[in-house]
Amino acid sequence: MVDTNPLLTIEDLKMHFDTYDGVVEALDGVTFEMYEGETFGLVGETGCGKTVTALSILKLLPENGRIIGGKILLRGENLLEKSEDEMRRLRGEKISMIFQDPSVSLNPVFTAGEQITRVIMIHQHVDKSEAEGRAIEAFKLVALPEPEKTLKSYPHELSGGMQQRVMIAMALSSNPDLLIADEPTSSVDVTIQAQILKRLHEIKNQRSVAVLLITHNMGIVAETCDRVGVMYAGSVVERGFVRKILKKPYHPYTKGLLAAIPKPETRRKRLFVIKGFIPDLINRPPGCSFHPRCPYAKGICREKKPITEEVEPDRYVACHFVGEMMAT
Amino acid sequence: MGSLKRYVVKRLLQTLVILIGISAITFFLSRVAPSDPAALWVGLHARAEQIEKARKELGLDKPLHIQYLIYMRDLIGGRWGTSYRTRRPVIEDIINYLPASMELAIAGQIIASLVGIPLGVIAASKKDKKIDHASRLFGILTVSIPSFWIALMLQIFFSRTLGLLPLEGRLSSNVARMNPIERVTGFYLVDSLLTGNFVAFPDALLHIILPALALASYSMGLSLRMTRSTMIEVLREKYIVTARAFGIPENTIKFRYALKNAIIPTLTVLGIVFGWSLTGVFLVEVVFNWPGLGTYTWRAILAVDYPVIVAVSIIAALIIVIINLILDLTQVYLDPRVRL
Amino acid sequence: MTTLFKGSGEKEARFREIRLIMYQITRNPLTLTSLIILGAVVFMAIFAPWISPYPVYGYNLEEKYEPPSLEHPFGTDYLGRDILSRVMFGARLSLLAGVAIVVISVAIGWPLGVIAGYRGGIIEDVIMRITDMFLAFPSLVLALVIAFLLGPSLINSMIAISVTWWPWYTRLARADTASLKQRAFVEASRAVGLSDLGIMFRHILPNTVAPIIVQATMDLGTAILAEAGLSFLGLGAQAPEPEWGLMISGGRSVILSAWWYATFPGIFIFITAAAFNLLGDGLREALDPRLRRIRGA
Repeated sequence: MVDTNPLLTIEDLKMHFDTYDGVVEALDGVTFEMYEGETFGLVGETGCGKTVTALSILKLLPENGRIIGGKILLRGENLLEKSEDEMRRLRGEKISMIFQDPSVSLNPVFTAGEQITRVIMIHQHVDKSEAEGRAIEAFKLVALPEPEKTLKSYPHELSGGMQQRVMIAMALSSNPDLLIADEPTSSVDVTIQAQILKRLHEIKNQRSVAVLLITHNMGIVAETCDRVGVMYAGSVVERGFVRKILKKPYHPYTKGLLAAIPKPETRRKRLFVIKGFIPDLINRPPGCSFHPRCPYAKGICREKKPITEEVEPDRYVACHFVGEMMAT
Repeated sequence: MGSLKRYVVKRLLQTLVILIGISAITFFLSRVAPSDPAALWVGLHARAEQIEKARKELGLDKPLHIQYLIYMRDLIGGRWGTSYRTRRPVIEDIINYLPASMELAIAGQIIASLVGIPLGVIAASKKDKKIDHASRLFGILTVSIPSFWIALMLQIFFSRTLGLLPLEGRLSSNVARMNPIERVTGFYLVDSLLTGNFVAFPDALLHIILPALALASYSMGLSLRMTRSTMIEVLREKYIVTARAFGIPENTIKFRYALKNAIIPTLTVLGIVFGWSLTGVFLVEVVFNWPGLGTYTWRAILAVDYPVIVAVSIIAALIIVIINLILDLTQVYLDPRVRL
Repeated sequence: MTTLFKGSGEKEARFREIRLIMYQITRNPLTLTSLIILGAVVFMAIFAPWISPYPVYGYNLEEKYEPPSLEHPFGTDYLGRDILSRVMFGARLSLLAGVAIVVISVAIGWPLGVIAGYRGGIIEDVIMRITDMFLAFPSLVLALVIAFLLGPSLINSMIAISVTWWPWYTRLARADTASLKQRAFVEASRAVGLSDLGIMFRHILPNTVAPIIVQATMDLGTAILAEAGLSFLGLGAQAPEPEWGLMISGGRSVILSAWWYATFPGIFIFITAAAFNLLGDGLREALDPRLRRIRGA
């Protein structure tokens, strides 16, 4: 099922933003690993740090962001120790990222063709006509209907779904090992969303690309991911195989998330809601970051941060009372 | 491209409306002035009958709106009146003096852009670092310098103290006598090269340096600030982050991806800057005794030379409007989103 | 741009914002410097009669064109008057001119722009066409002509310049208003029956304050430059007023021998204009939330 050697390991990643109002402790020890060819979902509410984690992997943080601890290992090499030049070569070649809103992610004054051929030329060291050929191949891969026409089109002339496919084509053009997809379907409507996810899945199997899928939508995770990491307020509170977690979530937050999904068979009249708000990341509450909202919180939760334990093979939870959580 | 044509036509019509408005304003302004144009035309010591005669000749006895219509008719027909002061047709004077001003304005613009735009790009990409602050300070200081004052300071320093550059004028008097420049475009620098006049060329070049610098001081700062703010906006856009995420080298990002987006509003900026420098040219010309439209107009104003004042106002407005039109059209051409 | 919202219950938010802005301004060393310089200039202008070493008018032909010395730090002019003292008094004229020009231009241009942006339709078209007409005109030429027609004087040059300046504010205000018009609170105000005029003045006008203030502050510097330019050309202040531009013009004829005459007034024009520009720039930074400086950890 899984190799023993992960493709990507993120170990205790900590990251801060310097802002006018203070230091935002955005990531407070993120740990997870991904294996070749699998789809890993990083799921959580807005603001929990999923996108920031992705940007940290590629070292694309904004000016005021600092990584202050942890490791990011790509096949054993620590990316945090690499120079900007080395990172530049990785980006788009070994690790690619696609973003949420394709309409603002593509440069409006260049054609789709110009943009993808430039990426191909930079990473594959071929000339323009060869690059165009490969671009068309990439467009066919993502099932764009008229590849030559798309090549000459400007982003605003393409529909949202087509723009997203162009982005995916660009991302996959140099056969990366890891594709990070940050909310790739939030900006398109549901039918297109389904198409894109399906296509992505097919490509993934063909090309054996590992996909880090970042989303707030548990439904997508359930459909497309092999393993999942649930993030809350800057750390991964639970991670493991999707099917197992969906069936029996252990962390209180995961339980809350799944309970909040309305199901047809539930007879409750009111929608379940996790009480409270996400914590202030400038002044974090001591102890477990979830304790203010946790219905099971007891004394120690307010004082000490829980450590992540492997409670079952390849199942990790960060909760002081995980034993009891597993029992309920 | 049919819609492009329609856009051009629409703009031209708007331009026409504006020009008519301007001509009307200047015309009525000139006619409501306290001094009597007829008396001015004839001269200070004229007798009453001479003044009356002049008034009839100049058509100044007719009602105001008739005068305006005659005026517009003449305008369109190219008869722009005769200068009270030089006694030459205004058109002739303008053709003589305009190139000098344009050459100076363009020279100033080139210097300003060569300094201002790259500095603006650098300042934007190294935002909030020392270079950015230094560049911004430079930009703010240069737009605070009075152009006529810096012109004088340049004269003192380079001409008197260092003796390096000529004090005023377009050409040294002996060069003008011995190696006069044959007129092709009216631009001394261009014409001297075109006609192989390699004595006059360096002389003209030396003469234009100081005035162009004086003119450029303000435009430099303006260009810098506007380029910088445009670039900052662009560099903040998501597609720049995406480009980085795909491993595109930083320089390519700055100078191709970002700049192409920034060029469009920058052109507007250049238009504004150039429009300004057409007024700055005025002051600089006066200080350097530059034989251009500025000095000509100044003398006209002091001599209450109405035909000149009116004509020059229209010409200046025309130039600005045309330049803005060209810039707008270039924008439309460059920005694929605005394909009408 | 930050919106200084007017309306019930927002008073505390406004105060906090204003304090924040003040803090931002004073934290920036350049802006602070500019405030100090401006303070000095204003001080000089107000207290000139008391602190100037010599009288501003009058003459002393024996001391004609004296170079800078201990008695006359800036030298003397063609009538033997002390240039330092005249520069001090000149600050009054320049500051007055700058403020007057900006105030008049804003008073005309701003409301016009709001009306144009809010009402739209024909009103907007007419106002904007007129604005375009004025903007197409090279402002200096127009100002010169008007100043000349009115008769050269300081006040007339101020009027002349204002006449050419108001269009900028109209454009600025209109663009701002046009985007504000789309916002929800305008709909809401209309829904509770507020009249157009009411909406314009109670809601839109206050929210367009920020860019106008920034522009106006920077324009104070440019206004001083413009006025000095007109005086330099002989169409503004007239002798024997101690106007800086006029002094430069007087110094021009003796530029090669009595360099100090034209130099010092110009330095003051530069310093004052630069201070206003720096202040305006600092204001712009303070008022734009995205540009706020990032505090270190």
